[in-house]
Amino acid sequence: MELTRRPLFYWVLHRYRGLQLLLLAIIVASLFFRVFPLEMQRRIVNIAINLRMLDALYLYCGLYMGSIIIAGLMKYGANVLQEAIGQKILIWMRREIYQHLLQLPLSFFHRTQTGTTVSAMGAELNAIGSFLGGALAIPISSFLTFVVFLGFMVYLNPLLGFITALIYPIELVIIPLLQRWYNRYNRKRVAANRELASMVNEAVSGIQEVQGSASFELEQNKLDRIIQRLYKLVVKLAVVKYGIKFSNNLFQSFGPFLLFLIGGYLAINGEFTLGALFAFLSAYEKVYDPWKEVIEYYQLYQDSRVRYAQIIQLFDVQPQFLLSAPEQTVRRFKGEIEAKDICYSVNDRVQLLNDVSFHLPAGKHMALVGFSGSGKSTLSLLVAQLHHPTSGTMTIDGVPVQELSKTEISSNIASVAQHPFIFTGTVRDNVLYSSNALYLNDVRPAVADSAAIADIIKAVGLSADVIRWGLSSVISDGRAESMAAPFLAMRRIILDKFRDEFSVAVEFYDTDAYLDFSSISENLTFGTFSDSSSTERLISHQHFRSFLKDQGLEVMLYDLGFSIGAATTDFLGDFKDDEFFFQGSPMNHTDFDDFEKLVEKVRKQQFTALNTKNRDKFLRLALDFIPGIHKIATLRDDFKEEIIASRLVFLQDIADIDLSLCAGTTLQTDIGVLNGVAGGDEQRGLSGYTPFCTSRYLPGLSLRDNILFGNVINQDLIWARLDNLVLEEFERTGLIKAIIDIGLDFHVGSKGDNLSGGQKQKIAIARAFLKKSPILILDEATASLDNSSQARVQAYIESQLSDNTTVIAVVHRLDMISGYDHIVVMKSGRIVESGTYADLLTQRGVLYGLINDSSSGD
Amino acid sequence: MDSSTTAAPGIDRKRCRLAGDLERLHHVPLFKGITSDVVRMFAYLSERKNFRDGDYLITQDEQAQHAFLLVNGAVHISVNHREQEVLLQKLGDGVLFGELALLANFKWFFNAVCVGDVDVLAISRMSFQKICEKYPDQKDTLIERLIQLRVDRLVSQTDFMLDQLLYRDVKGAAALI
Ligand SMILES: Nc1ncnc2c1ncn2[C@@H]1O[C@H](COP(=O)(O)OP(=O)(O)O)[C@@H](O)[C@H]1O
Ligand SMILES: [Mg+2]
Repeated sequence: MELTRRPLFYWVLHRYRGLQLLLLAIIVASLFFRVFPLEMQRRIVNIAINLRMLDALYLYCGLYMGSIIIAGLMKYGANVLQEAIGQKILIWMRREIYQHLLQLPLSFFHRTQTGTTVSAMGAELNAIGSFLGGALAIPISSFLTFVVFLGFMVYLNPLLGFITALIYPIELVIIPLLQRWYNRYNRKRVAANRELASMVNEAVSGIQEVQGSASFELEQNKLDRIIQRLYKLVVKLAVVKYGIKFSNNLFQSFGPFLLFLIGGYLAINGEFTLGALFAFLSAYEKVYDPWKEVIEYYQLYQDSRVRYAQIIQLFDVQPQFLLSAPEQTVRRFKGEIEAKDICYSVNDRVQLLNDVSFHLPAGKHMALVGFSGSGKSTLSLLVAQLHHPTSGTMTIDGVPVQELSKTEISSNIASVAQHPFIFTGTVRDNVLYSSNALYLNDVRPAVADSAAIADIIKAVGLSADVIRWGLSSVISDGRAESMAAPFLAMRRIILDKFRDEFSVAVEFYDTDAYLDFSSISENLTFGTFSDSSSTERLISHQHFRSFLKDQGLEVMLYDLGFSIGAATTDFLGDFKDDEFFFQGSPMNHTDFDDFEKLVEKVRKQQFTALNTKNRDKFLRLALDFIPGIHKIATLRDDFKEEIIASRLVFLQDIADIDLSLCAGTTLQTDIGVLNGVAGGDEQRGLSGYTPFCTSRYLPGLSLRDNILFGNVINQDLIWARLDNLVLEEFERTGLIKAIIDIGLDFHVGSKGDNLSGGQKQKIAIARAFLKKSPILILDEATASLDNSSQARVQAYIESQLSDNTTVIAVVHRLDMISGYDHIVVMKSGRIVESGTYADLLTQRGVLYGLINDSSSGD
Repeated sequence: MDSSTTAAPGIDRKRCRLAGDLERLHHVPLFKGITSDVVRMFAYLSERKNFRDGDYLITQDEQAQHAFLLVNGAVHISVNHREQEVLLQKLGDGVLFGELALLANFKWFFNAVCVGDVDVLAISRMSFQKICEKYPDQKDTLIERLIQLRVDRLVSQTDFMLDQLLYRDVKGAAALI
């Protein structure tokens, strides 16, 4: 059945019937164990207690408890099963709705706010889920339970039983009435909630505009209006909801009232046993449970019905194309495109295209030019089946585009939109997006290898970016082992030949120099630790501590730490709430209050008044101090000298490193041997430690920093210095492929947030090129690229795609169109001129005018 | 900073970088008459950077993040025009430039190229905004000064270009770098 015609119960009745039957069976079976204790109650009072029979008391009590436990367990199982069924149905439902959604025509998405769709697919469906699981079982079983308990009551005393049963019909009138009110408010609430979601979504997507025009007040007002309305609705809902509760409670107490009145009267007159009265009372309470369940079910049902109707109504648009043509295999076209008298209008009024006709033989390239808003994008969307002509026909190899399935369209047409979309994921995910989709649809074999990707990446001018991303990556030890040698060679080249050129941007690791852009602990250990909490580990490391003491450093570092702590607390007192201001100090802003107290204490007494734990806090401050970054203090030169002297002792005595090997100029490429340089690692608890030896690969650092072998002190300069050098060297050693491969795994951020506009467009172009389909549509695809990248892409199209790919390109720069076979000039939805470039220029028509205008008016 | 405590062995009080940068900022017209606390905060949050001859301190079309105080050396301000780089102005020691970056997020519309070795103090927009948040009473003055600075720069650049036009062959246009 068509998705949007399905009633809510369609979902309940068409799947998981076995499970639902099982649920029903469990519930029915548990009925017996729910009535049985009541009978036991009666017997305990009437027989065991009355006749003073202890044996019977034990037996009845045992049976009573036993059946209650069994009933409880069955209820427990039934609840879980119900939830599971609900979720299964929900998953099915969500998948179908999502699939439907993805195929809806573009116009749906223009009209519908994203927030609305998101909340319909998410929270609102969830709310229905809990209903779906018990949609069948609950009403049936509640009804049965109700009947069974009522029957038991009639069995105990027919008169009382019938009177009790009389109360319910009254409720049957009142509750639904209240419920209808509830539904009405609830519908309005759902709508208001959606409006709220859309509004917030809109403000967030347009946040640049909002902040740019400082329209906070305006946006706030919009929010206030909706919130006010929501508030009133929720209050009204509460009034009705608790009204229902109130009437329920009233009826519930009304029963015992009648029972005591009439039952008491009967008991006094000896026509009713006390045991029966007990059992009756219990039964009355129990009979209310299924009743309550039915009422709750009814409310939930109404609630879900309202939500469901609204969700389905939202998506009540039909997809305009076939997803796949089942009887045919997917055709591959040559790419001849013909448009005949195409008209396209939206909302039956606005005419966007008017009598557009053209004929483009397979393998030819056509440029669409014209004023902004003349319908170029619209026309290209029509070719790709993303819009549908109001009249006229668009054909590919003679087949009307409307008759093609989506699978055929996607395997024959690649397109790059004016504002391409980038998915959250890696660069590789994004460039392979379309190819992977074809692969999943069984149209194409597995996707291009890294070499093919690298070629395309180069063609669109993305290589330099991908290489930078690759070089910025920290690679796993295993991978590093096989790749380290060329990086170490690069390092050697820089250290030998370009040291001076780089020195302004890099502070090289040098055993004899103090590193201003490393912390004091790094200066002492002259190496990196694979985990970030290295200072922490050093502080609790015995050998390191005794090393500090032996070198006479401990007291000095305590003092230094205290000075830094005191300077920070004095200086940043008014700024302690904002982390931003702590960039110039090694202190963490959350520790500020603690340090303030400690500093005060030291000033009143003295440093030795602190216990070891607190002293070590200052030690940590000193060890984390990075002179080049933390402006809060400046180190004295003689102190630096002392650190360097101690460093040499550390390297030799603690880390067991042969300095001649470490600082030596001979390059050792065998990582295994290199790791042996620091043989004593493990036993001294320095695991993960790698010294800054020129011959060692540094595992915790990025590839770039491994090449540079130092701290980057000027980010702005480093890439400009590195780019050419790396390209040349790695091209020579053939390592460029591996780096590109690593760079392709760069994460682009949410919707490509980590990318520039140009990078996004290059990725989208690469995505389309990789698809290698017979037809390629480019909508101002190179508009946000730099000149050289534009020329590069154009060159690729002219050299690699001529004759084998039909290209329709909306071109924004007129100096780019001379390479096209056919040029179509558009104005206000019509083709005003078409022909070859040379012809149109000699005609001196519209195109001629455009070209001359643009070159003189600039 | 706090001289009352006994001298710590590691700390250099004579050549304190913060004090040095504070001294430099005090001489910048932008901070004339501005509370000392504010200027000290700018000194604390500013970053020292070194460049070499030919390095681009500012590259046209890249996102503007910092304003720069030229501590040492000289910088040429230029604009890319019709595939050429046209010189607009020459700046020397003690000049603050790129000041608009403190006020808004935009793409640079000019280059700043180092002539010889150059030292700068870079002040980020974020720092400027955070400081203004903490000292709202100084904000207006600072912004007004920044705008005045921009106006002065515009006037002097226009003068420079007009001179180029008037005193050279008009076709040969401005000095090309
Ligand atoms: N869904 C739509 N509803 C109404 N008007 C639209 C829609 N899409 C585009 N338009 C209008 O159609 C005209 C042509 O748009 P477009 O094809 O994008 O122009 P071009 O790509 O040539 O700049 C524009 O005036 C635009 O405002
Ligand atoms: Mg367009």
